[in-house]
Amino acid sequence: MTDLGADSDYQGLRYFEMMPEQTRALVEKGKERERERRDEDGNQQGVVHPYGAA
Amino acid sequence: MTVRVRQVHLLNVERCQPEPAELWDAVTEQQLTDWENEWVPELLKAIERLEREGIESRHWPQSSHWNWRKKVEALRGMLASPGFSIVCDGLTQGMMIVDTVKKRCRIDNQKGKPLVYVEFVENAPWNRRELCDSPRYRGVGSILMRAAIELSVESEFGGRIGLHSLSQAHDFYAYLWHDGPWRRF
Repeated sequence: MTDLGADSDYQGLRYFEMMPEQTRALVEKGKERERERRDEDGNQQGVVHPYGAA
Repeated sequence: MTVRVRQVHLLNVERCQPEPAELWDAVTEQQLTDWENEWVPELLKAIERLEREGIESRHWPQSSHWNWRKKVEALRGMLASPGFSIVCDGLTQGMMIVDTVKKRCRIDNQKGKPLVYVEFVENAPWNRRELCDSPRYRGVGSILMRAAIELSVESEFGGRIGLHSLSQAHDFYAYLWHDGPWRRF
């Protein structure tokens, strides 16, 4: 995520944002990982993809 | 209330194997009961241990004062504040509340565009490395972040998300994009 620094309006907590190009890559990577885990788990029947159809 | 349940997998750290889990698009009474009966006692035990070991209080979990029941009750019925939770081995492993209305993007090239803002996200105490030597599951935070992204896509916000981070979680968010914690789960 992109660190936009400390937010003085929010107790000085750092604020992060993730942009569309970052999230697309992340979701794709996540889908790939999930497929690996599903295959590893060997439990493919009736599994609904966690984020809908690819 | 209809809860959509999707199957996901967490990494069972002890067995070093994936374990089926459920991602719910809600925080229900079951989660709040787990929080009261399982999370809070575990968190208190961990804090007592940190205190015994002489760890300064600034290193204690910064979310320890969060009251999930109050948070959820305050937001109940508000469509703009959906919740998510992960259930594995019959127990709630993580919870998140987001907001889809109040915040806008700040980053220059997206300024003013809508985003999903993560209000609160927390992992069960037994999954947190700073609280126990052997966390049970990994992957909770990453899956919840993906759920926020997915909601952002479904809401036609382009996958944009934002959050304020407690300092103890900076590294997780800073490296989420860089194949850091995501590498394994």
